[in-house]
Amino acid sequence: MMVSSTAGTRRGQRGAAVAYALALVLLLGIISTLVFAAAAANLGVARKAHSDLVLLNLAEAGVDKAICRLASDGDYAGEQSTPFGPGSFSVSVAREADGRTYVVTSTGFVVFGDRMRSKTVIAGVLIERDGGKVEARLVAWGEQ
Amino acid sequence: MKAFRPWRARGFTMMELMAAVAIFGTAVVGTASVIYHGNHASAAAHAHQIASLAAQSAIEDLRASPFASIQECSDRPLQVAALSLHEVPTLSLLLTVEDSGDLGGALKEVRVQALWGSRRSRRSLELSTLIGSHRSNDEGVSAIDG
Repeated sequence: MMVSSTAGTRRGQRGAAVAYALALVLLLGIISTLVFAAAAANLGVARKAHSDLVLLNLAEAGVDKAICRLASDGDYAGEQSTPFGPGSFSVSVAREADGRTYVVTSTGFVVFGDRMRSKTVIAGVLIERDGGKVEARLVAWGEQ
Repeated sequence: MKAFRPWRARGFTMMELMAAVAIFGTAVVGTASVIYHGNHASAAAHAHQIASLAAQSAIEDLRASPFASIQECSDRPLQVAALSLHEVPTLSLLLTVEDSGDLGGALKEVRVQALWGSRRSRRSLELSTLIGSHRSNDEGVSAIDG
């Protein structure tokens, strides 16, 4: 009777080592997946942060170009989809009632992955003309 | 006699042990490889962020400097901040300045390229912008809420 019981226990435990190994493999698989996901997330964050800087510089390029244009042409109204570097920028200019202050809205665009990202910079610019001398001054600044 | 040695029932056969060790060994090697490459990717991401910030810092330095001092050049090496070099020892910055081609030299196209990594896996990124002669320093500029 006892021999029969022992044989039954043996049959029940046959393959237990492989089962333990497979359980540990599953655990290691989960750890690997988490490590891989964390690394991929880090890389994604770094690329997105760089894309933000690219967009900011594109938008600032639009502002600087607009200021230069306004210095020579007070009626400059902006431009659309100007290619520059890795993307493009669009600028719109609104003149305030005093005739000397302009609101420059510049948006940078860049393709990131499979979609277009954008960042907008709004600048208040005061243009003062004294005879042939033109002086431009930033009076307000904001980013969206 | 067998009835008093029930521990025998808990033993594993040699075949079981060999199969288990083979499976577990393969999994450990695979996991170690994933962890190694994961750490490598995380370090690469960190270096990418440091390089990107160093390039942006170089552009901001140029914006803050007088327009007349921004001379046209091609791939001129820039000094990298010690903190960035501490984080990414192989980091170098190259500056290219060109006349944007219109507005009679009042607008310059500035490109800063950051390079880092070993000779075998050289990495780079670039930031570019326009800097105009008419823009004054940003002192006393009020903020517009975004």
